[in-house]
Amino acid sequence: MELCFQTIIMSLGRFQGVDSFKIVHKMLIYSVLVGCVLVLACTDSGTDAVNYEKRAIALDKSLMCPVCPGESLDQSQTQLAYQMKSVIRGKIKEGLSDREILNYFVERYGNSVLLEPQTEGVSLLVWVVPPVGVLFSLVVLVMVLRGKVGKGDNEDAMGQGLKEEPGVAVFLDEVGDRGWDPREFGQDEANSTRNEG
Amino acid sequence: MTIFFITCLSIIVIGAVLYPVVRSRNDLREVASMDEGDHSIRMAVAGLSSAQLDLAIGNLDQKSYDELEEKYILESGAAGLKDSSYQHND
Amino acid sequence: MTELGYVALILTLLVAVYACVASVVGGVRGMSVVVDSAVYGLYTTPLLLLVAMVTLIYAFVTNDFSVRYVTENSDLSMPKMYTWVAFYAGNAGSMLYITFILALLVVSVLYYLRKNLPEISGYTATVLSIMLGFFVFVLLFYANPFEKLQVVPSDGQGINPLLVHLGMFFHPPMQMAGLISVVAPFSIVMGTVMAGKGGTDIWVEHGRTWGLISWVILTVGLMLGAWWAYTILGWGGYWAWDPVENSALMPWLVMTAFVHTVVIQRQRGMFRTWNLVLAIMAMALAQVGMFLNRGGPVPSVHSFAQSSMGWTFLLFMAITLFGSILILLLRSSKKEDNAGKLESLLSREAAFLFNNLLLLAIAFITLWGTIFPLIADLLNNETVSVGPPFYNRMNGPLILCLLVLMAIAPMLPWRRARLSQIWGMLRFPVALAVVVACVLVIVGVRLPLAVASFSIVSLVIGSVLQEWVRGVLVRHQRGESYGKAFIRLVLSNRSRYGGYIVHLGITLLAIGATGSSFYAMQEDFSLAPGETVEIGNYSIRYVSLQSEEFGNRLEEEALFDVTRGGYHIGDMKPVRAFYPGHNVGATKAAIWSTPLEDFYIVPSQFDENGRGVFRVHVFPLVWWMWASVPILVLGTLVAISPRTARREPGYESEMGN
Repeated sequence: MELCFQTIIMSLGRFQGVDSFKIVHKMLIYSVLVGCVLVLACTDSGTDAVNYEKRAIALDKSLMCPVCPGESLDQSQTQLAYQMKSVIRGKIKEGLSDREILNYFVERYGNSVLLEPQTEGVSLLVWVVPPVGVLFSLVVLVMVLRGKVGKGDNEDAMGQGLKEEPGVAVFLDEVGDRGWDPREFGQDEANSTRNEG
Repeated sequence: MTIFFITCLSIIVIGAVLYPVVRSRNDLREVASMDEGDHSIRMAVAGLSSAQLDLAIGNLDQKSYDELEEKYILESGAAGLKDSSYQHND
Repeated sequence: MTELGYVALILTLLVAVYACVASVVGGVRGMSVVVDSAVYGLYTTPLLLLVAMVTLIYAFVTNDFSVRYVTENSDLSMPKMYTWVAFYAGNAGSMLYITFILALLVVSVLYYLRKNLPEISGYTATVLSIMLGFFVFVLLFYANPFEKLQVVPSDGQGINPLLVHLGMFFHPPMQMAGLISVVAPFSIVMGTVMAGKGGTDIWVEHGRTWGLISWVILTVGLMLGAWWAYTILGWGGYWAWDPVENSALMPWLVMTAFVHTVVIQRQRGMFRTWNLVLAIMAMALAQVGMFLNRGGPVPSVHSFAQSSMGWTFLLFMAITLFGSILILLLRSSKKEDNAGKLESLLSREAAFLFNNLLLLAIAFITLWGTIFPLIADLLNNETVSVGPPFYNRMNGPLILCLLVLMAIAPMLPWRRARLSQIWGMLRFPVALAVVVACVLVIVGVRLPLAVASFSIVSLVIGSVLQEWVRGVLVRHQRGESYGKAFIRLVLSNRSRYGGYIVHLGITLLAIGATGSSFYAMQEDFSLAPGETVEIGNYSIRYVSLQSEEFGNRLEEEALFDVTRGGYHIGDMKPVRAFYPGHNVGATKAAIWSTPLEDFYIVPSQFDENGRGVFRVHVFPLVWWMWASVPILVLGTLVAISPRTARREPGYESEMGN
């Protein structure tokens, strides 16, 4: 068991302290960014599936039951919900597109039947405000931070006199004694000499 | 029956509110400072221990560690108390 | 007996008013005896409110329909067990429950502060007594649970049938306790500010402790609600971005932000004002939550606690918010000079700042989506719905970013990190994440979001593992065995390792959410008794239907024989109950749960021949969501547990000179 532990820890240690990291790490950052963009681009709240039932379920989930508070057609168990669901399946068989089916219900019950707000009119506001708000607060944050970012105090903080006070030794003993050298854990020279920063 | 309980509750409330007044008249003093001292030592021990770990694994540089150590020593009140506060913890 | 309850409430109001006045007068004039008197008065309030609660429960258990609230929320056919908890099903009773919990919090916080930070306990008592006073005032004059009826009916109207479920014993009390528990960190913060110490760090350790307590209660409340929705609502969802759910999520998000940045304040004295603001924000959102819960301006599945007094809560929220900000501005004290500075955007401090930004962005988006229907109505007289698609699109990417941050931030050094350091730290977690992604794609898990989510979860697990191993190594060098080092490591750095345990719990939550969101299977079947269908790996045979009539409902229970991949699993019995009095049907899904996936059968309607429509779901990995809860609680307990200073033998000889 101890041997197993030691092997794992030694191999972790070997990961650190590699010299020629710059190119590799740049590549890693770029690939991560590209990956993120791809992933976000793939975020889609609905796709047209070949399978009719899958399409129908997706539509059920994007319409709200008009008589139940806050439930989608998919969730609701009321009579009206069942009727609307069969209307949806009928219209899919007739060959209407998703958009046309949704519009059919909007004409009858109003915009509130859509669970995903439209991107026109007042509803546009619901989509626009969050990204704008987040960007705005990012800008404010950056501006506030600019005033505050700076180097910390570098004067010698510890007066030797403090450590010699009685009671302090006992306190430090409570904490536990230190006596290890960080360099034994694979930290390279660069890390241990960063104190001048 | 209800009236009885209502009276009981009222007595409890009035008693609670008057208790500190009565107690201070009898010159009893609450000794809260001991507990407070013990608590701040515990907090400081916890904070400094965390900082030591950070120092050992390389998340903290020596200068910052020294500052933190001083801060926690002062916070714990260990300095300047000589042996008084520790004796009371027996 | 209910007269006793009503008088108890009156006494509580008197105590609250007295405590408020006395603590202010005593504080201003420096008369500690007067402040003590206020505090001791407040110590009696849990007893008073317990008495009030007991009289109300007694009225329910004895079916005392002369009390209006009992008539509205129970009936003779309600199972006996539920008469004990029905009292918090409606508006007035749940208010009474909340006020009782508030009284318990008042006593706990004051007792704690008098031991640990006495200089602010007087001011905190003022804040707490105002809060308590408000709730009791509302109870007495707007939502009296003890109101009597002139004509006593012979039977009650009954409770919403959906509430007659095991979850009723756990979720509402926990959730309501969670919302009111935000008062604890809030009152500590306001007490500190009123004492003129808002620019110092004296409150931080205690604010953190109570912040964590509040956080964990909110977390458990939310998870119990998710579990309840999953088992009772019949469509297998555990979160619908419903307005009432959102109103409980928002304070949770802000408390999460708070418990992170107080760590920074404790170590480096930064973000002082920001943390004060966060506590105030959390309180305001909790009050908004109470308003949405009761005001009903936005339609919700939780409509059982509707009333017209929601606006009182909105007003109270506004007063609390603006009052707190005013006090913050008026009592702004000189900040201590030892505040740290943000030296680099690549540091632990900056990472926690990003954490806050993301959490608050999610909270803001959730708030916006929740109240937007009201805004659209006001602006354009248009009714608009904002449903899950909006929240998934907006919050989804942010949540993923937060998970990535959760992996990186704990490893970042304080003050300033060099890129080489970061690379060194990230190699193992990133390697693990990449390996996991490859394995998933090979095995057939191809949806980009699912792969991304699982990979990011691996990133977090990898980084926590790495930190743990490094910590164990450090202790091992001091001569401890690995096993002892592991335990001692956690015990001597409780806040850090408690935090890691909580992060691991969050990853379990993410695993469950990802599996069930992307790979759920769902199909509707119309089956007559004797028929068999297959879905996925499962084969189910509809054996029979049993109907049973009870006083207030008709229950139909279907029996299924279930096989998976050739192995016989056993019986599953989904139930559908119809309540003619309320004209509503309630379904109880049959769920067979394993860590790999949940198999879920929900019945809808049956016809005379026993043919019924059944919805069958397969939900992968949902089990992990519920498994995460004990982990989250354990991590929080570790993080708040106080460390007792060790007493080594022989230390006495080192003391003195």
